Amino acid sequence: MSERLSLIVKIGMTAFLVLYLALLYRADSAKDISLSSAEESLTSVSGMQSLQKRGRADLKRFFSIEETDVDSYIFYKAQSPMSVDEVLILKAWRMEETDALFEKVQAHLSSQETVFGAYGTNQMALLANASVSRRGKYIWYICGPDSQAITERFLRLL
Amino acid sequence: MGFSSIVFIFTFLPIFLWLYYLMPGDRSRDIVLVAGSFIFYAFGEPVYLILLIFSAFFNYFMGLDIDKAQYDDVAKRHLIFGVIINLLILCFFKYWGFFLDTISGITGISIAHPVLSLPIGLSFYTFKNISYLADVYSQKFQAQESFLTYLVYSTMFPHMAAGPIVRYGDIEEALYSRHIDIGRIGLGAEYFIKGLAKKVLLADNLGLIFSAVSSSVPSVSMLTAWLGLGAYTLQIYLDFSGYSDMAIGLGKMLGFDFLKNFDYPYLSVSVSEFWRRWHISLGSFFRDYVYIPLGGNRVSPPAHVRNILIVWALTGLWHGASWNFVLWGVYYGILLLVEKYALNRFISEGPLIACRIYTVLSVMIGWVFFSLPSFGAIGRYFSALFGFGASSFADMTFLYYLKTGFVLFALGILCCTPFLQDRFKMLMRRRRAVAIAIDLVLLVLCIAFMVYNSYTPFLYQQF
Repeated sequence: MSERLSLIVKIGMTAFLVLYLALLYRADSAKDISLSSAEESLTSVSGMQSLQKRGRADLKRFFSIEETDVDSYIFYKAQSPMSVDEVLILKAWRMEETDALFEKVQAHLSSQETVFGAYGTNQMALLANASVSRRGKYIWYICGPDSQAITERFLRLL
Repeated sequence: MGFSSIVFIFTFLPIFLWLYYLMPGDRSRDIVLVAGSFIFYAFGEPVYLILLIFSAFFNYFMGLDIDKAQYDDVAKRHLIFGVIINLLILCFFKYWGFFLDTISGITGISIAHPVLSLPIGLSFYTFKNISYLADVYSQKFQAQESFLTYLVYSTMFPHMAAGPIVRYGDIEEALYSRHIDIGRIGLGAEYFIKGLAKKVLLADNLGLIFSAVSSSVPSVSMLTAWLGLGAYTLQIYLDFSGYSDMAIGLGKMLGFDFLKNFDYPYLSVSVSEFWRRWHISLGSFFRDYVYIPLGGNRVSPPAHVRNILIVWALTGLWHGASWNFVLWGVYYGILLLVEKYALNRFISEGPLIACRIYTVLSVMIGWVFFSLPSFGAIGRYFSALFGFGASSFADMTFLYYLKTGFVLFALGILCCTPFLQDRFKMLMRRRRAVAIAIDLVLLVLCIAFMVYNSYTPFLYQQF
């Protein structure tokens, strides 16, 4: 391969890389926000008002996540054990930890599907539409009739 | 999808191996291996598959460019360009936010910045590709002409997510021609099950003890804090060496021999020896591509001190974009310097048991920096360890964890020595059927644990 062609390929690869990274930066990035201020905004969404705020013991019980494993979190859950309505938003300490947290959140979804799979038609429909995703240091699990509205409100904050 | 997940063991691996063995030749197996690796990677991070393929193509191309350069300075220019682009990608995802946060902290000016998720295995495959370019430049081997073969090396799923950082030269022969027979497949399966058992049966359960203790600090007793740290010390070894065993086992099943990544590091008599036995592929990477090019130890003492501190700060930073990792790396740099210039005689002439206790204690203290994310948490844990912030010397919690975790600790400690492995090898020679039955029982136990417990990713996968 001639020097000239090699240079052209390198310029092309570099340009592709820059473009790809720029697109990722726009699509996958999140602002550094405080979850306590986000909580104020999210609790005004109608679906949140029927849920109860939960603490470290429930975070550990339902998601196997220690309070100290995350920078901060918002956890709301319906009182009834037959309900699958839950809102969990986690802010990881570091980017490297988001994978592990995301796996745990996905594991919770799988576990819920196993629990309700045999008999809970309504619950299974809600679980199928649950919003389980992440952006930047934030990981969320939002399940319930208003999951889309809550997710959209949170995404606007990011 | 991790190696210790049900979907990997019962869906991905059987289908993949069936297709792989069905193929008539190595080239068709290459296609299956690359396709399988892409599927494995896309399971977790489909958006970063493009980055993985780009990285493979870029390094394949740069390798050819370096190899074909007629003059050394041209080859060097290509090498520098290749290394810069690789590091740029790594820094963009891993260190950009950390850099801005540090600037904000120093200047007091708040710099808001978006943060990106980290592509799986980025640190591992970046270093693997850099080692390839550097070795082509050093003419250790010729650049790979076939892009498919380079893809096999660069994206192979067994060592892509959490290492070991396999050097091209170590598997070059197998890339061209692989020998697979039932004996190799059996040996690979044995490695895989052994690694899975270390991870699922021991590491994950020891992790629960450390997690419970560290989240209760400072309201724990001094002995509970030490017990928790002991649990983490075993957990991180069993987790990471378990992953490496599984990667080596998968490699064997596919016809590759990866070098071992751990050599019973907790039996070392010095911290320097510990680092020759722990994460061997990373240690040798830094030795060959950073420490020796900087002059190694064949320089004046001040320059040697500088070299050691640079290498260890980088080793710390490689593990994560956070000051606790830098502190952890520098802690080891200082320990190695102290050993080199002050403790040399103690290490070479001191009682073996004293040297081993010194090494294990030094390493355990290092894990406090490594395991806790903030300086505040590190400070509180140290206070509990040395009795300043602990609730008491010992309490019922300590006795509870000791009693319930006794078998875990005992097995974990045995796994840190060659004892069990030697017995197993002997059994394999004398009573093969019993040894195979033990492997099967271990596999069934692991599956039972995996079904019952929620999935816990490998610790080193986050790097």
